[in-house]
Amino acid sequence: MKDSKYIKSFILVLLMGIAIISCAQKQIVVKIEYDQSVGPVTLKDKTIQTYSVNFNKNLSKESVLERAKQLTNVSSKPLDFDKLQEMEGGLMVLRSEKDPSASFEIDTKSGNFLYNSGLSEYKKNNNTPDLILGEKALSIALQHLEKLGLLPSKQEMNLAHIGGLDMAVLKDDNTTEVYKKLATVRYNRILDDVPVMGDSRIVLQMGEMGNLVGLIHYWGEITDRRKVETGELIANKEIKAEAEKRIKLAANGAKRIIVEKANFVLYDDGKGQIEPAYYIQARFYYEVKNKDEKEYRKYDIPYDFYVPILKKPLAFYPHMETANKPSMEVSGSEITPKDDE
Amino acid sequence: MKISKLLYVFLGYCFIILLLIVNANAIDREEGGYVGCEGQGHDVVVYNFLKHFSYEQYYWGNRHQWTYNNNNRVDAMDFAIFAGHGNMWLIALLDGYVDLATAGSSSHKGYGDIDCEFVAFESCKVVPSPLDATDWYSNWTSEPDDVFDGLHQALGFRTDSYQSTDQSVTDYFGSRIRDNYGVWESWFDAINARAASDEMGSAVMHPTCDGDTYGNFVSDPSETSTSLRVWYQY
Repeated sequence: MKDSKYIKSFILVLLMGIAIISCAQKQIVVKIEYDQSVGPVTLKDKTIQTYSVNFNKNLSKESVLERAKQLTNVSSKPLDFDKLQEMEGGLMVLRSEKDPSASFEIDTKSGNFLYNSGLSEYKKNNNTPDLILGEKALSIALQHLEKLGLLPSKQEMNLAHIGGLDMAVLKDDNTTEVYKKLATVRYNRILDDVPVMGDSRIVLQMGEMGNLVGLIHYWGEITDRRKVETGELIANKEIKAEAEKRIKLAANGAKRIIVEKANFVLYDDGKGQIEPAYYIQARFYYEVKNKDEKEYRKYDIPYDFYVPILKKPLAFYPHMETANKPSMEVSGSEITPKDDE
Repeated sequence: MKISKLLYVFLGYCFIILLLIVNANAIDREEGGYVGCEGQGHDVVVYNFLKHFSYEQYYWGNRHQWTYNNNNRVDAMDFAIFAGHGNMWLIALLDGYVDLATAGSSSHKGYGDIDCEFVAFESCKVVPSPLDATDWYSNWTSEPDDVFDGLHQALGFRTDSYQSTDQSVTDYFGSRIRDNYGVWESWFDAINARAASDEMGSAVMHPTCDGDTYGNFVSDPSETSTSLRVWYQY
């Protein structure tokens, strides 16, 4: 009797073991590789500071209009100044009845703004006359910023991109004609030699003879910078562990995982906090196949995120955002389409 | 007494008529969002666009939505947005992938023959420019299995796009679409304002639809039209 009890227990344990092993085999664990250029994750010898951005400017309507007029004077493109809209969250907006792509949108709390003088005149099949591209666009961009009183300290400016906007059209003979439309210059920010990622940026778009067409100025005024004490930081090994945990969680189905960047940065959350973090960028390699096909299609994608290095971060990071969840499809569900063209 | 009663009835009648007129003029469009994969934040990316509207569909992504059942999904919407993995003319879904070059091969055809005007792909590389593919156009318009069947604009990236910025891009983009700014111009504004410096947008469209806003757009192009233009950043 006793023996049969033991045998039953043995069989039960054996079955459980087989079940666990078969489950483990189904979940293929892909090793995380590191690109040679990725250095060690360490906070040693780093200048670690947090920064507060002035989000209490409470700009008046008058100062908003003044800034908008200054921009339209430079671009020579008017906006409807008598129709200033006050939106929720402290936004003020000016638009143009003539051009739906034109706008001036400013956050009155921080002074950050987006200006687009309008693109309607750029839609013809032609190159923008006297378009100034490349390095030459750079000096004109700086002149615009200086003229507008928006040139930051040069130490904080990091030239991130010189490029442009093109329009290509398919011609009747199935050839492509490319038209050069705008030049683009973008600066990212550096604070105390550490690159700032997230919201901070200055993006200029320029058209005919370098005329200003667009300007995004997200360059908050720093009101406080504070040195972070060692006790406020998480340990180096915890940063790496957190990074690898998040990569493994996200890399479901990937055939290969390579970490391409692990950089010490500052993250600007666009809400008043600029905080130290590690920026991780991995690349996931996939092979996909539909049920009815034999061959796999291969593609790779970047997967990037921030690991906050403060034990109690104040910044709001992208991974902290949540949303309502999508619905699962109900088989055979149909709706009656309606065409309201 | 009787006259004042009649007056009240008349005023009430006028009020109802006025309400009907206002409602008739209000923009009542349909938005749908489709999430390509789980666990990487793509649900947030889609939701951040949809939350600016009283949207109709918000689903985990499956192939049928973009292929043989698109009349009930993507093409039943005025604006359809996808977030997930992508490559040139390819989007990855929970049950496989969709090749947008042939997605219009079923009896449901492509997009626009029923309702859809705009699609946006918050994914890597889905909308190539001439810098990426000499033949950047024919996969969108080659009959009989193309997806531009009355579609006005398809928005996306010609480069990689990043998870760390995607949700902010679609949030800002959604607010500008809701407020009736130019459609593709809003896509580029959102990329300039929220994306990283190496994320480059692209927007392919029928040339007549270049000035569309969500509240005011031109008549649908013909299903067989092969005219296209593409705006792209570099």
